[in-house]
Amino acid sequence: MVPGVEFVQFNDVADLVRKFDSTVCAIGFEFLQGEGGIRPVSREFAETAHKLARMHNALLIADEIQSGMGRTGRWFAYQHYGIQPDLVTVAKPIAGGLPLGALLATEKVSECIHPGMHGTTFGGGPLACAVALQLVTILQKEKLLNHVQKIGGYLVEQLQKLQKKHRAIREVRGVGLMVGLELASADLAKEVFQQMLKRGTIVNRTDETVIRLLPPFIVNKQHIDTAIRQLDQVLAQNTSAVAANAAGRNQ
Amino acid sequence: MNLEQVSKLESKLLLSTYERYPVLLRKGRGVYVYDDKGRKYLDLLSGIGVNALGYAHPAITKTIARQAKLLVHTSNLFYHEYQGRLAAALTKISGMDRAFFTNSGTEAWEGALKLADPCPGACLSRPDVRRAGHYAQGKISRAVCSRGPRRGVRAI
Repeated sequence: MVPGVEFVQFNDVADLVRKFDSTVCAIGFEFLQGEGGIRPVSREFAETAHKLARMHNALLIADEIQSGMGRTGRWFAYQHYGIQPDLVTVAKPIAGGLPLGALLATEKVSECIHPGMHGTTFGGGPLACAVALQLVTILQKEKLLNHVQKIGGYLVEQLQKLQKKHRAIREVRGVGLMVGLELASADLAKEVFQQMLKRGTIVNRTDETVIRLLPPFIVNKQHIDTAIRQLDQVLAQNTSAVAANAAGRNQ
Repeated sequence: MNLEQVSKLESKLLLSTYERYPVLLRKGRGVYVYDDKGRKYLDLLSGIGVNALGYAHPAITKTIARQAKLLVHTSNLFYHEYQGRLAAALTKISGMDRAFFTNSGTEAWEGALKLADPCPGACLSRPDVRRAGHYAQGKISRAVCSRGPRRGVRAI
């Protein structure tokens, strides 16, 4: 771990205020946590972090590696909050599958960097950059951010319908096409993702109990309906299996 | 090679960092990927949020092929036409001013930490950053890692 880094309890404004003083040089977070289980930062937490960073002349760093480039239906998750960070990290979808990342900075922060201070041999090569430029063009030309908003809304709606049917679904969270399904137990989540794979649909488990969906932006209703139907079957099967096990133990 | 052979080879030769799904992928088209036996999977994970346009998008494939024939790598000792144009596109959509390109999110984050950790000697004439100079020994609070180091490492 990086030395001199202190962690703040997620969405705990009091903890943030307590730990933020003039020795802090930066605060960084994902406005919508990915690996952490698809959890949005509260508006109050984000605004307090922004305010404290300004007050103490510290930098606000938005980690947009997973949530950026349109995944949430806007270009970046911080744009849902109306907060402008000092630094933004971008990667994953940026170059259509080729490895590329970017650090975006304000003019003021950029003034700190001079030739020789930082560099890379491979970073920003012509192949990855040409493809990234093409990707941005396609996202704009085909109005895919609008599509992500609409289809993401549909996905969440269908999952919420499923939640009414299956008590094992504790919560449905997400923005755009960054969606998480909190299940009753880690075992169930593991079972669900494995059985979905057997049925021919790839999802993922993160933060133990969360089924994570990060579909491509070109996904349509028909794909989502297929996945929902499979989830419905898998959940029905497993909840009854869990109930049967529990009944067996009680005998 | 089939799945069994591939997984046997890897378990002998790779550092055991991953618990892979028992699937050997061969190709992808749109929202679907296909395994070595030709079985089709609906991919709702897109390589952990990477394949935004799915697999083998014609315009992406075409750009890769065109550029591969021209120039794949230059190092940053030389100019090529795409960094500046990509920076223009990214700063426009983000409201930021400048870009630095890396190979991964982890490196982008590393760069962010380097910038946050004030630059010794570089900006002494500017009061606001000079004050930040004291913060070299300071702390970087990362809410993203709020629940422990392991998640923090994975989050970047």
